[in-house]
Amino acid sequence: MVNMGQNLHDPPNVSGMPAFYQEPSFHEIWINSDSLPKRNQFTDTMINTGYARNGFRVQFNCVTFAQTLPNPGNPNDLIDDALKIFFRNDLSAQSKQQIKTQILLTGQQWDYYWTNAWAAYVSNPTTANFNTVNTRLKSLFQYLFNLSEYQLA
Amino acid sequence: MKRRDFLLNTLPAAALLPEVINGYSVKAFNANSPLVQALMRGTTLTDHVLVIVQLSGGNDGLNMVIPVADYSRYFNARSNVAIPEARVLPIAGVSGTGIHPSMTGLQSLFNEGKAKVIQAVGYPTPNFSHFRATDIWMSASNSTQEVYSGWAGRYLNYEYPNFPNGYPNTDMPDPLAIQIGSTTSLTTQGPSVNMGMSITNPTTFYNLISGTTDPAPDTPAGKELKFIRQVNQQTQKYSSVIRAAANAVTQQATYPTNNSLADQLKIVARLVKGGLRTRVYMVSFGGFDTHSVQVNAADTTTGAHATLLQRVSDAIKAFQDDLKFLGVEERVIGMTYSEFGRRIKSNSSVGTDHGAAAPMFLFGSSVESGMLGVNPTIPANASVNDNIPMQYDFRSIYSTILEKWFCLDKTIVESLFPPNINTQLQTLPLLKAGVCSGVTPPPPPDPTDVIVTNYPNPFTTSTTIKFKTEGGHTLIQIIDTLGRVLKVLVDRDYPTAGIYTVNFEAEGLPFGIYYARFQNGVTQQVRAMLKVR
Repeated sequence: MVNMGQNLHDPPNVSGMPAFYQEPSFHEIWINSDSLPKRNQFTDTMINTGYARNGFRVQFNCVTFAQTLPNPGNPNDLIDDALKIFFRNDLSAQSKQQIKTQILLTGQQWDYYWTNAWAAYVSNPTTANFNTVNTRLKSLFQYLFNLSEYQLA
Repeated sequence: MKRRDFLLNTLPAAALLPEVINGYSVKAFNANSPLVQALMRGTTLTDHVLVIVQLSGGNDGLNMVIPVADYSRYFNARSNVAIPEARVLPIAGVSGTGIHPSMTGLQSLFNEGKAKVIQAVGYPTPNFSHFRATDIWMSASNSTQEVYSGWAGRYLNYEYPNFPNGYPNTDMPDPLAIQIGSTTSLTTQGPSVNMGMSITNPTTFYNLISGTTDPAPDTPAGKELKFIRQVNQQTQKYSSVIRAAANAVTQQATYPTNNSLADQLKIVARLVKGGLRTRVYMVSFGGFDTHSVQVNAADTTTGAHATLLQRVSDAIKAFQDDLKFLGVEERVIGMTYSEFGRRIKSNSSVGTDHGAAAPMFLFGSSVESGMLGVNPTIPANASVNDNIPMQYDFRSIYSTILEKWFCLDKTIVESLFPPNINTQLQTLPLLKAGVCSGVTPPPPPDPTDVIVTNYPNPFTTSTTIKFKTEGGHTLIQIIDTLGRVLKVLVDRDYPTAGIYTVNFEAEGLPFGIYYARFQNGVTQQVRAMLKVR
C-alpha cells in the first residue's frame, strides 16, 4: 500500500489521503513510472517466489490455478478461461494464438503437445512432469499480468 | 596499466565492507556495490556477439546435411523422402557430404569460407519430447537432470554478477541478452533472475517488429489502455538505448520477404551495428515437426521441409551479407540448433518421426569453415527405432563458443556447466585461431584463488557454504539484496590454509536472493544464493 502511495493509518494530514483531483490527469496519476513497475514486480514475485512472513508464504500457484479451470488440457480453452477471470476485455485471436504458440507450446505447431504434457502431469505427477507444465504456466501468467490490458482488469 | 589493476590499486578492498561505510545509507551501498564488484572482477572486454537460431519442432538433419558417400543406405532407409543424389548441393572443401538443394544461400557461405557444419550433435540418453528436449538444450543439463537456469544465463551471470541490481550502469548500459520474437527463454535464465529481455515484451517495443499488439478500442477503457501502454514504454529501463541503437542504422542490405527468420535477423543486425553491447541474441523459427508430408511426393526436393530450409538458408545468407555491408562481420557468429533430429527411417506418411542427434550450422567470418565430424552411420536395413548416434555433445559446442569466442578461461567455462558434465567438455576446432587475441580476458583465477560456493542452490531452509581460505582472518557475511548484513557466519583467524564449510540457516528469512560475501586478506568474493519454497 505504501508503494502504491497510500500509507495505511498514516494519512498526510487530517483531511486524509488526497484525492486524485489534479487536472488534467485525475485518476491517471495512480499509474505512473514509479507505481507501474512496482505493480509488475508484485505480480512477478507472486508467481516466482511469493511473499513470506512468519513462516507463511503467499504465492500464486500456477498449476493449482490451472486445475481449477474447466479444461486446462486444451491450450486454447486454458488461455480463454484465464483471460475471462483476469481480464475485463478479451484479447484478439491473433494475440491469443501468439501467446499459445510461443509460451504454452514453446514454438511447436500442434496443440496436442500441451495436451499430452498436461495429461502426463495429471496422471503421473512426478517432478519432471510437474516442471514441464509449471515453467510454461509461470511464463504464461507472468506474461499476462505484465500486459497493459491486465492493469485495467 | 590495466583497468583491473587500476581499480585494484585505487579501491581498497575494504571499501566494500558494510562496517566501513557506516554513515552511508544502506541505499547507497546497494546502488554502488554491484557496479564496483563488476569492475573489480573485470568483465571480459570483448565486443563479440552470438546469435542463437532455434529451429523449433525437431529438424530433419538427415535431409538437411546429406551423406552422399553413403547414399544407397540413406536412400534405402527413407526412399519416400530422400533427396535425389544428383540434386544434393556440394559444399566447399568437403567431399562425400552435401546439403539440401534449397540451401543455395548457405552453400555460397561455405564457398566464402563463412560456414561450418558439425555432424551428429546430441547428448547421451536423448529425450524425444519437444518440451523436455528443448529444456535440455537450453539448460545444458543431462537428460536425467533438472536444471533451472540456462547456459547463456549462467555465462551472463558470471560476467555481470548481481544483475539486475545496479543495472543498467556505465559499465553495461545495454540489455545483456535479447530475445527477438517471444518471451525470454530458459536459455538466458541465470541462477536467480533472467538475464535476457524480449523485445516483443508486451510492455516494450511495438514498433520494432510486427509483434501482436491489439489496437486499443475506442472506448473509455481503450483510452486508459493507451495511457498505460505509454507509461509502460517510458519505464522500460532499456527502451531508450534500444531505440537509439535501432534508429542509428538507416540503411541495411536486402533481406528476403515473407521470411520471419529474416525479419528477426534483420533486427539483430541493426541492433549490433547500432552499438548495443548485448552479447547474446536469440531468434527462433518453427514448423520443423514434419511427421507427415515433409516433401512433395512428386519432387522430394520441394515441400514443407524444403521451404523451411530455404528460408533458414536465405535468411542467414542475407544476414551475413548485411553484417558485411554494415562492417560488423568480424564481431558476430551464429549457430543453429533444433531440440532433436529425426529418425533415420521415414514413415509411411511421407514424413519422419522424432529422433536424436542432428547437424548444427555455425556461420560467420570468424568461423573455421568446413565440416566437423563424419557422415552419420546408417544401418543397412534401418528400422523405425534407429537413431543417428551422437558424435559431438552439444555442451562442447557451447563451451567452445564460451572459451574461443567469448574468450573465457576454460576453468571458468567448466564452472558454468553442471558438475557431472563439466569434466567432459571438449574444446572443438570451431573458430579461427586468434579471434580472442586483442581481447583482454580477465586474469584467469589462480588455482589457489579463494573460491566460495554453496550447495544446494537454490535451497529451502539451509545451505552449506564451502570456502577456501589462505589462512589468517576470514570473514563470511550474509547480505540481503538491500545490502544489509543479516548474519556473520565466519569471523575468525584460521591458522592454516584450507577448505572449510559452514552452514547458512535461513529459517525465518523471506524467500529471495542472498549473497554470501567472503573476505580473506585482499581477496573478496560474492556468491549469490536463492532461497525458495
